[in-house]
Amino acid sequence: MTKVRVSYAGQLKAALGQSDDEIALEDVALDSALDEALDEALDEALDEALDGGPTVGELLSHLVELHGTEFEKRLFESPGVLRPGILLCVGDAHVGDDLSLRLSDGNEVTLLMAISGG
Amino acid sequence: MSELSDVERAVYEWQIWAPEFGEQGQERLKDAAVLITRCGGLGSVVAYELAAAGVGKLILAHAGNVEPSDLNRQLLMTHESLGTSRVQSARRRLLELNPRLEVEAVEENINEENAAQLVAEADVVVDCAPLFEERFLLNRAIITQRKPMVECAMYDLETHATTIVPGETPCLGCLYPERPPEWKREFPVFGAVSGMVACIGAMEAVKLIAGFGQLLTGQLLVGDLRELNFRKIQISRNPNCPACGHLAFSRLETQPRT
Repeated sequence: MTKVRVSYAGQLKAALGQSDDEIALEDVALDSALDEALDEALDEALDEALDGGPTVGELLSHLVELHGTEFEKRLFESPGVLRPGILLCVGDAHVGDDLSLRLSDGNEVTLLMAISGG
Repeated sequence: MSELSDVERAVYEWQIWAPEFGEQGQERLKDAAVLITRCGGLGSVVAYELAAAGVGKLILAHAGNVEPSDLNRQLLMTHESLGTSRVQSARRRLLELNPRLEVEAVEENINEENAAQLVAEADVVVDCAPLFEERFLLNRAIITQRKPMVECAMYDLETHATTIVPGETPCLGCLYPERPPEWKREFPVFGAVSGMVACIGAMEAVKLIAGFGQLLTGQLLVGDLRELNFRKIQISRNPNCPACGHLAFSRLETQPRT
């Protein structure tokens, strides 16, 4: 299980009427013996990739299921393509639009919105 | 570099005491020109603080006349100036505080025709525009002219601030490759929120000009005044950026985002 906290900002937060979600996502299950063997044999990064932690894309799909089509329209321009005004952040870094990034337990994901008030 | 007069030494005495700033920093401010556009909720306070700090010249670009809804946040406008030119009101109020200040009041918002010329007159730009179209025009001009720009923005009780140095930091295009379609011209705003991020922007300009302190380069400072949370988001150059991707990536830079 990977637990992730998602924070919303700007117009997205206003539209949802909430500032965050706590999400728990199932990991892809690996045979435990294979998993153990891999842990010993492979370096951490590769091991993490093969562990099957959820991707950012999977997290966003889950959020769309949770919040519906209005939310989906605010997030995505087309399937798998974020709208231009969304700043996707994992931890304290803007990660661009790479939805294949894998998440770890305890990650914080923030969906910032482009703002231009002056 | 210009020397400080006796009056200036008296006025700026308490900031000259700031470590790493000193008289040299003050002289640098005196010799500097800053473009601020527009001159509304954000821009008014940036201009006011830079006038107070002793910047030599401010170029203010903002079209139109003062409206009632300006007066909850545009601190250089007055009730008396309703219906009259915004930048002229700003100019008047700034000179009341600092009569040594040179103010160029331009009754236009940034557009395709004036962006390059206005940026060319400045050493630093502070972007306080309420529309992405204007922000992108400034972004393009500062990249062409290799001028630094402080980006400040707000919405409701949220604020964003970052400092752009072309070729070294992400530019606005690295964050937003296209104009964000959701952004509306009218937005919820309190004066204290735009004022707060404006003060952060003004200090970024002071640090850039005087050459001290840590800048918000490669970082987006995100503020939330509802919950009093502030965080720095690490941002990086996009090698495919339509605006600055053609500028070289130095080997010393943090690995650019792929």
